[in-house]
Amino acid sequence: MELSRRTLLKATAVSAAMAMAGCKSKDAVQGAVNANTMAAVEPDEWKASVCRFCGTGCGVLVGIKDGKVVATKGDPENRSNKGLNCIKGYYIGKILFGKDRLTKPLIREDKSKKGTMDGFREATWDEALTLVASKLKEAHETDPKSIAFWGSGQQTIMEGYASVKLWKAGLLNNNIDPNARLCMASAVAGFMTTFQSDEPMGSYRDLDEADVFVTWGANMAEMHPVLYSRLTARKLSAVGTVHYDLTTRRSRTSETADVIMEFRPQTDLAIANAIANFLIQNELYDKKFVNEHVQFKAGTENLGHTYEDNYEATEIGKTADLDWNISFDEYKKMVSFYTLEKAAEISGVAAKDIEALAKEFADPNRKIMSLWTMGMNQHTRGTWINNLVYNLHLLTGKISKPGNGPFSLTGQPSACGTAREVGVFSHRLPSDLVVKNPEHRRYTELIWNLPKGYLDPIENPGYHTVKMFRELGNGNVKFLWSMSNNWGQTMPKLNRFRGNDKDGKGVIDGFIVVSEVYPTRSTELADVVFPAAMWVEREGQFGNAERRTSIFEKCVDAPGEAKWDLWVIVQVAKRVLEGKTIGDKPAFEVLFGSIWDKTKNDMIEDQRQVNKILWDEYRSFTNPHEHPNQEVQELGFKLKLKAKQMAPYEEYIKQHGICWPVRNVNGAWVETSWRYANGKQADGFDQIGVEEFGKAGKYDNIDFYKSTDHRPTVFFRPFEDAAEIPDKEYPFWLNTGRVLEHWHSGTMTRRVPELHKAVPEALCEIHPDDAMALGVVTGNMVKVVSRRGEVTVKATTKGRGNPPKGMVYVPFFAEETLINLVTLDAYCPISKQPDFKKCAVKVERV
Amino acid sequence: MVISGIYIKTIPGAANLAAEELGQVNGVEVHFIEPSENKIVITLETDTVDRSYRTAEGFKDISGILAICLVYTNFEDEPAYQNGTITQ
Repeated sequence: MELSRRTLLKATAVSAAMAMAGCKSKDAVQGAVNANTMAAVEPDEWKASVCRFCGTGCGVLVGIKDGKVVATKGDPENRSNKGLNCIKGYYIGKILFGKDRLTKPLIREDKSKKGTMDGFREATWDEALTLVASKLKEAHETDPKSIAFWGSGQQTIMEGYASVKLWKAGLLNNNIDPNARLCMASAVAGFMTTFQSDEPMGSYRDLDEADVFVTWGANMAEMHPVLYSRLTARKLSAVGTVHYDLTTRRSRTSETADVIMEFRPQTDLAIANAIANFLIQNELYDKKFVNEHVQFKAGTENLGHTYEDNYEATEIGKTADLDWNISFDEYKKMVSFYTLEKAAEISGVAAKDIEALAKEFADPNRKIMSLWTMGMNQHTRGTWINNLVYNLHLLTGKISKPGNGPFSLTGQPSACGTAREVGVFSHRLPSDLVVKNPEHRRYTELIWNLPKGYLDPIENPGYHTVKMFRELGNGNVKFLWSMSNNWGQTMPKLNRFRGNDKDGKGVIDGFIVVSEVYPTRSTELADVVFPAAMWVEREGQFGNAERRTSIFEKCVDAPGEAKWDLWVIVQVAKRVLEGKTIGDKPAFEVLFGSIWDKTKNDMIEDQRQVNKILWDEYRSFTNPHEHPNQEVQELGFKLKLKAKQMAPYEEYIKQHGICWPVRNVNGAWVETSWRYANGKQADGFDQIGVEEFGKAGKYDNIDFYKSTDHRPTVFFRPFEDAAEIPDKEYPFWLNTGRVLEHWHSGTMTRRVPELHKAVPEALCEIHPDDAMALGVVTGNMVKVVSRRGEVTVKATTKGRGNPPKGMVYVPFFAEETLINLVTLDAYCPISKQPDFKKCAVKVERV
Repeated sequence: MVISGIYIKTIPGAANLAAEELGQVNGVEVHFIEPSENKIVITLETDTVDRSYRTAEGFKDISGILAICLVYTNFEDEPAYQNGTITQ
């Protein structure tokens, strides 16, 4: 019997793998096992889901038997991964089962024990919700600026939407920001300043067609293995495909690159400018594309750095994001400073290598895909370097075409879908709308049934993430609620934000609520902990890096009393909005009445129904033409909101994920792979968008219809140095990041014993020459010390990556090695994203 | 008993040798090799998810292997799932 079951399971495994690999031989399947026989080992049910470990957004089918998750397989119908998962996929089921899952609400009784998991007692949901609502109400009534919500790229799209609605409309407050501010904000600001529209114009399909890959500060081999395998497959199948790796530290990605361009931190700005200058000086740019599609701008320079809490109030802080049009000739003159030799001198990269990459951009027959992650985004000039990479694609017309395009990869499963698309940012509203624009607020009022002018009080952006935590430290934010993140470990300059420094005391005094699934370094700082349902314990939606929205179905119940975060948001809303009115109606009813079951006096129990109701409402931000109100239709058309068109909820379940804009073509909902490119919609082009908002027949069949005057911007952005540079006292650069086995702060993956054993502790990678000079050998403990803090960590000269002389690298996954005690919280003055990749440290042998 | 179906890609010309080496790994059964397309399909059988992960992670050290794609895994009989908890 057992043998038979084993045989059947193997046959199932083989046939699934054969199908995914595109192998046709039937001989490979063991024996003559037919489908009916194999059904004996099938789970009761397979449900569609999405992996929650990175931003790739791989589809996963979850097998359920007797109410338990018993099997997973890659989802062949999800077009992002076509049935393939990386080996982290072994653990997506297992993260649900850590023995220390939080299963009851916790209330802190002993504030003197803040910073530890001691001093809590278990509470009922009603008690915890009532306490949180009363503290929120009290702080809000005393000083509206003293409340804040820190969301996440791991919240589902509808959880993010509900939190935005509570904060922005319910509490008329913009102090809401996501942890995506720490990973994607520079990409957002780059997209918005260059294109006036967020998120990439290409798709993962570009990986199958490019001739040249450029990774800019991205370790794809470890962080996005499924996409990297697609990149390597292209390299193998197309002779002449080349990969350039621009990096400050050699990684596993560098190992398979053809050209490694190792640059001094921050000098990518000079390299990108030198490539642009080379193209112009040698007249190798696409003149017709530039004439027809592009405008040129310069912006404020000499931005200084954001060390001080009041940076935004300073003269330079107030004008940091200003820009103005310039002529092509002015741009040409400004960028001419960056010769190949000058860039080589600034960056340390050989001029011949920069020239070789420039010539790849220059060759009209070579398709180029630029890919980047944190190296470009976690950068004190993060917006600028994003702009500069777009420059290269715009100058050469290598954009919005199969195999050609700049592509920002994401680190979290729904940084795009949740944080960006529904506007969980201090300056945004859903669907690229911003609080500053009166028409954007008006449109939001119309969709949310708010009186005209109701949202005027939120015209000024609230606290961005670093400002939020700085003001928490200063005691000005008195109530903070964080959800699906781990700020007590992942914020830079942690001594301040864990309440250890003088200017961080407010963290201890403030009232902090943390919604979590496991105890973390953040729950240690909480006054109330809400136990949350995770991944497939509830139904949700993620939006990935290629604009694909996917739904994951509820597969199992959450353990103990853990609850869906959306239920918690609505329950707090119910209590905090009690007695408030909007117009002549109760505020709660206006905002959340559609998902409230009055008979049961609780949120509607059916999660599918709740998600669908909220989705239909959110969809009105992207489908104004379907709305019965003519004002919505007209204003929505003017704002081109259909550029982000979403499909009905059921369609995502049916298709296992769809990339927006999703167009209705004769009743079929069809995705878009290349925005702004005119071509058949069925082939993935943006035919309907171009026809409705642009003009067909323009050069290269492209119309950037979302950009001002239909022309995205080539920006002049100079090289300006890092916020803290190594000196005699602190002679090393410190670089931080992730490792393959652990996802972000390790909260989930470190519960999995084997992942924990594979990389049990954080290691400090150091160059062998530096180690020798310090008298350090692999295995010695060293102290990494900055002006802000220190950690003790084991050194290695044989790590996964190889930093150059003068740099050390420490990952941030380990809660016992809080490297963020050492990092600096200086951020990009435009995107407000902090730079975790560069600060000055000294290294001492312990 | 945890059984997985894994699809492996190799560099050109390496599929046969890599498959031979994979076949030596405890729990691995090679089911299909397509040298012209650098593809190998295997099953992996171990007693726990952890051991499966460790074994699959080790494939990276086999010469010529480029990508390891997990396609299917059944862990119904994994002990941790039987009692519903996992210890750290």
